[in-house]
Order: sequence, then C-alpha cells, then structure tokens
Amino acid sequence: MIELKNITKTYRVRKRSAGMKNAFKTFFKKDYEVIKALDDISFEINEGEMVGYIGPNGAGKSTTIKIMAGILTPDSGQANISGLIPWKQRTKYVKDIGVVFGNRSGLWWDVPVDDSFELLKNIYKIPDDVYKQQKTKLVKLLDIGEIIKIPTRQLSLGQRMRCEIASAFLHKPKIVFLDEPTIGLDAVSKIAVREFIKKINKEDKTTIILTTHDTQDIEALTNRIILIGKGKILLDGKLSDLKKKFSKKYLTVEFNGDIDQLCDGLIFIEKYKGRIIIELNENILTLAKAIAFLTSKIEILDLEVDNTSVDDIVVKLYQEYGI
Amino acid sequence: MRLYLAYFKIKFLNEIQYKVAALAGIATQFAWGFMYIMLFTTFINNSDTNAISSSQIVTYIWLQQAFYMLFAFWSVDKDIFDSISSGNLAYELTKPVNLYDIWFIKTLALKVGKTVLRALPIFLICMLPFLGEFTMTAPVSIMAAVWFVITMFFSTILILSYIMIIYILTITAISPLGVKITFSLMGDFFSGGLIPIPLMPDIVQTILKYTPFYYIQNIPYNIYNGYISGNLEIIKIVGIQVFWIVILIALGKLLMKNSMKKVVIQGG
Repeated sequence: MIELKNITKTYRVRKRSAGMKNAFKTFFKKDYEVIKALDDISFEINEGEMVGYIGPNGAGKSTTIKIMAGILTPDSGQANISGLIPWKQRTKYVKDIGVVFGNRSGLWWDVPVDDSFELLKNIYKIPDDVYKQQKTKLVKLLDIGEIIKIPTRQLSLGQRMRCEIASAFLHKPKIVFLDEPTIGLDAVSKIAVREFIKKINKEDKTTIILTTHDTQDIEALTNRIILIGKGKILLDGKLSDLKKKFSKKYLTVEFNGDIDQLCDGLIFIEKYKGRIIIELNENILTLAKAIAFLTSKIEILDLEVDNTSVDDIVVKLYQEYGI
Repeated sequence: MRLYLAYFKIKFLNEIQYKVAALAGIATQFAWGFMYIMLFTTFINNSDTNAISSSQIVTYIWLQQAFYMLFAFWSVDKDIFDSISSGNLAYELTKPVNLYDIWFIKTLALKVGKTVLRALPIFLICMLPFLGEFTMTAPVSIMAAVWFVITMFFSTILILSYIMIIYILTITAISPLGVKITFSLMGDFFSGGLIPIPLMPDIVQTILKYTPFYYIQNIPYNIYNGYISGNLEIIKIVGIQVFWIVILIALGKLLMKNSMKKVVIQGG
C-alpha cells in the first residue's frame, strides 16, 4: 500500500556567525551547510494500519510526511503509494489522501468553517449525498455542530484543531497523514481527537500515519511505531515488544521494621528509614514472589507498583541510539 | 468549472465583508481623482498639445479611480504571499487542484470584490452634471461602450497573468517584498497608473506599445473617452492583448512548474 525505498532528502541551510562583520561577509561569500534530513529511508505500511512515526525534533518526521503527501520532491529514492508516485503525479495522488499539519491552518481564516468544508466538497468533487453523510458523521464524532458556523479566526485552538481534522476526512481519504494533531490541545480535546482517530481507523479502514511528541498519543493509538533519528530509521516494530524490552517495575514500599538484604531480581533504588524504592526484574522474579519475599521480611504499610511509561521508553530509545 | 466558481465565491464573499475599507477607499479615490484632474487639465490647457482633450482626461481619471482596485498592481492577494512565506502553501499542495489556476481565480475574485464596492458609487457621482468641468462623460458611442466592456475583460486577464508572475517569483525568495515592490511599481508606472500614457513623450509611448503594460488600463479607458477609436484599430489591439495573455500565462505556468520542484517547506 505505502512503500518507500531508499528515500534521501537534503536541505541547504545558509549559515553565518552573528555580528555585523559576518553579515557583511555574506555579500561576497555565502556559506551553506548541507543537512541530510532523510538518509536512506525505507519502509512499508499496509492498508488499514495505524503507524506512529516518532523521533526527536529535527529528526525528519515532517520531511517524510511532506514527501509522502506529495509536497516535497526527494533527492533520490522511490515511493509507491496506492500505485502512484506522490511528487510526480501530485494532483491525481492527493485526491485519496488527507493531511493535517498541527502547526498550520488549512481552513479559510475569515469565513465560517462550514464554508471551508463546502469549498473542500468542490475541490474533491464529493457527491452531495456522500458529503452530507460524511459531514454529519464527522460533526457528531468530533462534536463540532455549533463550531462550524463560526469563522475560523474566532475559534480556540482545540476547536480549530477538531475542525482541521474533520476537514481532512471529508472526502473519505484512504490514507491520512497527521503531523502532530494534538499539539497544544488540552486533555479533553486530546482524548476526543484520539477517540475519533481510533474509531475512523477501525470503521473506515483508513490508513493513518501519525507523528507526535505526545507519548500518550502513541500509547492510545498505535500498535506499530517507526523511530527516526538524524534522518535514519532506527527502529520499526510493535509497541508492545518495546515495552517488554524496556519495561521494568518499580515498587515503592512503606513499612515497619528493617531490611538490608534483597533477594535476586530486586535492587534498591532509594532507601530511607521506613520507605524504600525497589526495581523489580521480572525475568528473574515475579511480582507475586517479590511481594511474598518482602512480606516475610517486613511489615508492609503501603505498596505502590509503577510501570515504565512510554515516555521512559522513548527517552531510553533516544539514549540507546544516541540521538 | 464548479471548483473555480466555488473558489471565486468564497473569496468574493470574504472580500465584500470589508465595507468600511471600501467607504474609505471611495473617499480616497475622490480626493486623488480631483487632484489628478486639476493637475493634468492645467497642463493640457496651458500647452499647445492636441493629443488628448481635457474632457477626455477627466473621464480617463474617473474611470481609473472607479476601477482602481482592478488595475492597481499592488492590489494583490496578501494571503498568497503569506502562505508562501509561512509555509501554509503546504496545505494547498495537498489538494487536488492546480495551484496556478487557483491563485488566478482567487486574485480575480479579490479584485472584482474590491472593485464592485467602489466602482458603482464613483460612477454614479461622477456622472452628475453639477461637477461642471469635473464631470465624467458617457461613452463616446455605443460601439465604444461595447469595446470598452470587451477590452476591460482582456485587460483584467492580462494584469492577472502579470501578477501571477509576481507571486511565482516570490516562491523562491525569502521575503516577497522586493519582488513585489519592483514589479508593481514598474507595472503601475508603465501602464499609465500615475501619468496617463497619452501624456507621456512620444518615444516612451512607442516603446510601451511593445510591452504588455500598454494594453492594460490604458486601452479600455481611452476607448471609452474616444481617444482610441476605429474598429479595425481596436480589433488589432485586442489581438495584441490576447497575444500577451498567452505569453504571460505560458511563462507563469512554466515558472510555476520549475519552482514547485525546488519548493522547500521547512519546520513543523
């Protein structure tokens, strides 16, 4: 369905040191630095899949999205998305995709959102009945019935974002690229957006590619993640596998009594009088056995079990790959 | 076609929202109109030129003020420049539309929207007889009225195809300001926006005839006031208008294609 092969893209960035003298120097000689935004990127995504595309700032996420959306032309490499080459057959290709850039607005600023939708209907040549049906559905799912009567400029960020997302799905695209769709949203809007994405992926079998810095987005939405750093794909796999690989449990125990020695599989992280934090290695010891061990030594007053969050996994991944 | 109509509609509706701006515009247009008329008629009355009569100039100036927004080179779609410098262009590129055509239609809608609000009041007031020597005349003949409408259409398309080139040249520039100012100043001056072409030196007029600028606002206004007449002459002029339209649109589309290959949208 989506197939990228050896995609490479470089940018030329103009560089100069600060100050008058250096500024004048640029009249005679300009310094450029060539930055490899994407370096030999290849992956495949199947129909109906939902993929989280993650990486630190400047890793090349948006560049990949822009290439897949037909906006940028890569320096080299091939792509085949639904049988088309995005940047070569742009107008034909983009009919079946939807794009949301979280940090930009695709709606008309001064007119009610509904007018923007109407224009999109004409752009994509959506038949009346399909348009009506899809709009009703989107309006209901995203709860924007009243909002779409208001001009875009007067919407709050959360309201606008929901409208932006609706606008990307109006023409029932087969593939949707969401570039940080939850950026700057509050908890309620985030959850609404996630629920919506999940539902539409399930019901319409829409392929969704999502870039985000919000690890909760990843956890809530995607099974598969692709990690990119410095323009290279570092990891492509299931989130659950990653979790297993990096996951550790932490026990915070408040107790009466004394404990100096721990059994295999348990390590002290912090130790105070009456309170300890222990790391549990589940490959050696199960949680039940660990608790049984602790109960045999001390009188437990309170016990808390923490799992590694996806945040920690991402941080660990970044550390492991040195990005 | 429906798509273009839809774009036209949304932009047009957007534009006629600004009613206070239009009122202020009308006031400005009157002030400039009277000033220009006094200036140019003084020149004409105190020289032995018989190239153009002062009543023709009066009519020319009022027409120019009425259709100012249509033929002012700086009256362009700011949103397009903004979308280029901010990168919002990315969104337009993800739509199955031809960017050139859409920009064309948007600018047309914007110019027509701005003009309808201003032209009619100016027309009505300037035709009133109490203005004395400042009164605008009716078209010199029925044929002149017909040719006026026809050449207005081609002049509008011509200026749009010129403005398109300004847009496209800014795609690869960091700031649109330089290109915009240079090209719109050039356009305004050479198309007779500041000094009517008939009042320019003969040699300049001759040179301008070989540029597209001569065939924009200069043509319809001077047909209306009778300075340019003769069906054969006008048919020739319309032919040249179409020639320039074809050239500029072809050039614009070619430039667009090239800059799209080079387009870089950074950040986010």
